[in-house]
Amino acid sequence: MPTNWRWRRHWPEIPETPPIDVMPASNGEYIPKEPSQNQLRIMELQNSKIEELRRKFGMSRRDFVRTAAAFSVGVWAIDQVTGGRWGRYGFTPTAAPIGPGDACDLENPGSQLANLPGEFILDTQGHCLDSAGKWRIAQPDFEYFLSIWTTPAWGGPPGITDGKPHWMGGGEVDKMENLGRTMFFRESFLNSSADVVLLTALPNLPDDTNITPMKFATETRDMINGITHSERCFIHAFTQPNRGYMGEGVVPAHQAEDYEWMTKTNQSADVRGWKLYCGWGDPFPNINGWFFDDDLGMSVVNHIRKIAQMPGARPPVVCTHKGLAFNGTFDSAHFSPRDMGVIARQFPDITFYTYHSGYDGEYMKAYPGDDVANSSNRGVDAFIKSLRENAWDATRFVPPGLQHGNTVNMYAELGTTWWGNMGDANQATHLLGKLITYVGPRRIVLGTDCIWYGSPQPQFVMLRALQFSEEAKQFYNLPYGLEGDRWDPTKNAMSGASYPSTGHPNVPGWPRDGRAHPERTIRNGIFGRNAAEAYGIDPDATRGAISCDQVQKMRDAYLLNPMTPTESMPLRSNLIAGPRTRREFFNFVKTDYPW
Amino acid sequence: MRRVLTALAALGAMMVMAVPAQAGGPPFQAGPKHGDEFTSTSADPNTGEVSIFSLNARQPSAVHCAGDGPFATLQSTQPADGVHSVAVAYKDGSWIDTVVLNIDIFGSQSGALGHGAVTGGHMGSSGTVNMTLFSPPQPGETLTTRFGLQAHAGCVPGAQPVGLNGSRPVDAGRVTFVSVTTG
Repeated sequence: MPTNWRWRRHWPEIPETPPIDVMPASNGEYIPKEPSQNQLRIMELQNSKIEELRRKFGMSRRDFVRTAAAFSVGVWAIDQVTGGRWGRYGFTPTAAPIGPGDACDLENPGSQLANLPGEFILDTQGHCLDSAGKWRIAQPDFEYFLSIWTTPAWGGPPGITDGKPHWMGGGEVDKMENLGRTMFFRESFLNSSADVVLLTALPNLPDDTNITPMKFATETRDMINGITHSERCFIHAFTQPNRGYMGEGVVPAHQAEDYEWMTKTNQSADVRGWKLYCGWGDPFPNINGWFFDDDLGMSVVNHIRKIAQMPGARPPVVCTHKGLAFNGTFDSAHFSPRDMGVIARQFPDITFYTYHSGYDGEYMKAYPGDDVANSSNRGVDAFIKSLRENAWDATRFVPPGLQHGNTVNMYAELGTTWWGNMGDANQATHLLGKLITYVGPRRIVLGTDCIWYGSPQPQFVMLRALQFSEEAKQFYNLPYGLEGDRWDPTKNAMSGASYPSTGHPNVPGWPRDGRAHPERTIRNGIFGRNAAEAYGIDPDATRGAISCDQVQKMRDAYLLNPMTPTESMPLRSNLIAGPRTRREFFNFVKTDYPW
Repeated sequence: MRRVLTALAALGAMMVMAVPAQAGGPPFQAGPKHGDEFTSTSADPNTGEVSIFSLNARQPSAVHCAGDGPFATLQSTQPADGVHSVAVAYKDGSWIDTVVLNIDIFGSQSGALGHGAVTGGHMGSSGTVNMTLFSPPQPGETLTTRFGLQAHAGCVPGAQPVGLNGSRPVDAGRVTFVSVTTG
């Protein structure tokens, strides 16, 4: 019996929404778009198939939509509607669409939580926040911003509807706790197939006013690694070069203080990378951003290089948000990736991660060419253009005898980018196809931007299922699509014939055992093995199991926290609670808007 | 005497190998221009004047602000043999800090060979951007230097009544390119 069974009668019904929900949703900031014919068709197909299957298996709809089969139904429905010229969704690499029988298979491994052969998932963009942090007083705008963005995870504000009291969607009385470490742990490690998650950082300095301050981040990491008895979580730290901005050419007032803090933090917190937001301005977030190729950017990269040269320090890693404008909240012009090619070329000894790959909601097509792409835009094409105009794209680093290359030190990260494109097989194919071409098959890393989007599992399932069409394989010179070997994508990593005893004439260390090597596919590189290589993590090391009992203990202990009264509500992950229609939007603004 | 002859021979060889700086002013050639319906661009090859303008009336969505910001360019081509650097001079430059003066150098066979940029806001400024080529051009190829202004795509504030600040109302810049000098 649940601990809080007496409260259950006050909770809203657990939703019966399919796990892969493609209908428009708003964060409360704008009127949601009218659903497209494709979106309506996908949901219609899902609903009818779910009804058919749940009857077949004798399950209630509420139970069925939380099964792996329900994920399969979602993949099948998206494929039926959007699969076409460039890509399809299916769990076999033949690019054959999933048949109704496949969608019915509760055992379909592509939808299971267990990892597939060769699969190691390292989510390079996990988030959570300190709901009891000082930032809630010092940075109240952030609470507003996060509240309106993260409705999928936290649901609506508390209140009384039809005489019934209800709490936040995630079950916590304090809405920000729905984005806290407990939910992060539950959604990332229990409700998904992730093996390791990088808890990355958010603005701002000084650190004690940060949303994810270092003390909180290190405690979260240590808690997770303690529970699992292995390295399941590691962390970034945030920094900025412009705090105390006083004008162009003048060293900002707090720069020296912040650099000193960086040096100390790097020594004490085992920081695996520095997270920067070029569009995080000062004194207000939406002005005075900076670029890596101006004085402020050069200064902070040089400082990161300097502290990485100290005894015992880890190699320098610079991770920066590029793309996602956060219009009005940040200085969005400085989220253009135009400087990434410049800085990567200038600092070949530093590893750079372009978070979101510059994506900002554009319709994803093939790279249009250097005469059309504008590196000052936000967008994946702008990111590629930046690399190309600095002769730093993957096509400049193709080893002799091979047809694909990788940038020296630049990684394309997919947080929100994959989430925003996976609902259309054609767009998803172009996204990965052009990143493989211009950044490299060993330089793409999957981040999910969860917990902002709830459980990351739908993103993993969709990446497992994407198949390039024959036309896409030809267009991107990837004869085996994402099953290609990421050291030589013209070879099929899923075939033993690709690994003869003679080896590969141009790739050192090529397997010679005549067996398939799923761990070498481009897909599994994106899932986590590319990032593992970059961060020096052994993906094949034995990782400790996670016990639900331990999580429950942690949760119970959390409930006892007198400063943060909470209550739990399991199995909420299917709900998108933001306004879904124009009418819902105005009702939300009139009745629920808390500011 | 032998030393003198050797020195003279070496000097002669250096004079033959060295490529004298070549400066080219307007007229330039027209380069690519692009932007969505919220932008206007102009680039006059005869005067070297380039201007861009963007009215940021695009509608944002959740965390995105998508669109095609403006860019306008001129370009100049020269034989690439022996060139190891390029300098682009400009005057009367005025643009806000969301606009970037951008220069791409590429060879007809080598692809990208150099890049330069001027960031930050400017008012009536002039200057020269000096760029060393990333690598020597291939023999016989043509070198193109493409220069102009570019900006991102901005959006209006979030839908009312929430009302965030939004991007700047407009992004705009104007500059006159004076010369392209290879060395």
